[in-house]
Amino acid sequence: MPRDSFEDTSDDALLVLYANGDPSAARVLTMRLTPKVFGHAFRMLGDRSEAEDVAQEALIRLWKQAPDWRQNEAKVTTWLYRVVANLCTDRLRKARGVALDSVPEPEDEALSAADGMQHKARVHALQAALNDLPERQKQAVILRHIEGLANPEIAEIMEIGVEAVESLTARGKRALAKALANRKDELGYSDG
Amino acid sequence: MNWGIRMAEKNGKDDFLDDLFAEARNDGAAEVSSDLMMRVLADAEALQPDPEALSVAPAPRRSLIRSFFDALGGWQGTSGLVAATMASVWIGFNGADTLSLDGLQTVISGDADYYLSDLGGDFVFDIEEG
Repeated sequence: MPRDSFEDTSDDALLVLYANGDPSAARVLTMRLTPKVFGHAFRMLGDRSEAEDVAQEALIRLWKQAPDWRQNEAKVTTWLYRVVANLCTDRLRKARGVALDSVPEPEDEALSAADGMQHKARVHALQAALNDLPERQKQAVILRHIEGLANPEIAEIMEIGVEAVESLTARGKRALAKALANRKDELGYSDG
Repeated sequence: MNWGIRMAEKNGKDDFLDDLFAEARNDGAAEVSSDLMMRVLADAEALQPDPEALSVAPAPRRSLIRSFFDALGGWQGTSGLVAATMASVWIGFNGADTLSLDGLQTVISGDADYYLSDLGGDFVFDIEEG
């Protein structure tokens, strides 16, 4: 795939180029947005296959929306995170009742065996604890602490105020800390 | 003192969670596969508007009647014109008897002569006054 030669071009502008039929815009947007969309869906759902379906569906909606896209109304990524959250919520509601232990073990062959095992155990434990949070808390914690978005952008995505985002992330972190407290030693964190 | 202990506990809790978040952030399992990239790109290309269709969209053809209609001012102009025409026809059929000079037919047929003096005593030409 070609390198992102539109480094200084905003997603908004690229979407306009896409709607005007520019084939490079399709490639650049795909490379730029797919990892973000998939990553968020994966952390929300904890399942690669489901996350891939959600990412593909969210981006199909974006391609269809492109000709009617209104610039300066919302960032493309904000709009996409919103769509991903809605799609994930739908799937989680349908899948409610599935055991939390069914979160698949992540695969990462790049790490050494011992480090790899511990890394897997930590990521798995965090994902299971995240899955136990109320959906809005989970979304806020993922966007803030894993995706690394700023609170104002999260507020826009979740269509709430910045203070509400702070409250959701704080409560989410407290719940995670409580849920994982008993597993600290097992995950290689000592209290000392 | 208690505040210090609570802060230390809080910081320890945050460090622990921050470390877990960092692990999740760098997790290879969250990286997108090339297969998904290809699927998304295929969708993007399939759903992309056709640039040729956008650039050569022909201007809609205008019929002669439509052009005439537009020249009259569209619906508003045409309806005004129709109303005026219908009013004229109605006057033509019903209003002849009420017109002055006992009907225009008298004037046209030339059966009678009319003079300026018939118009009344106070009618004069200004030219006579200089």
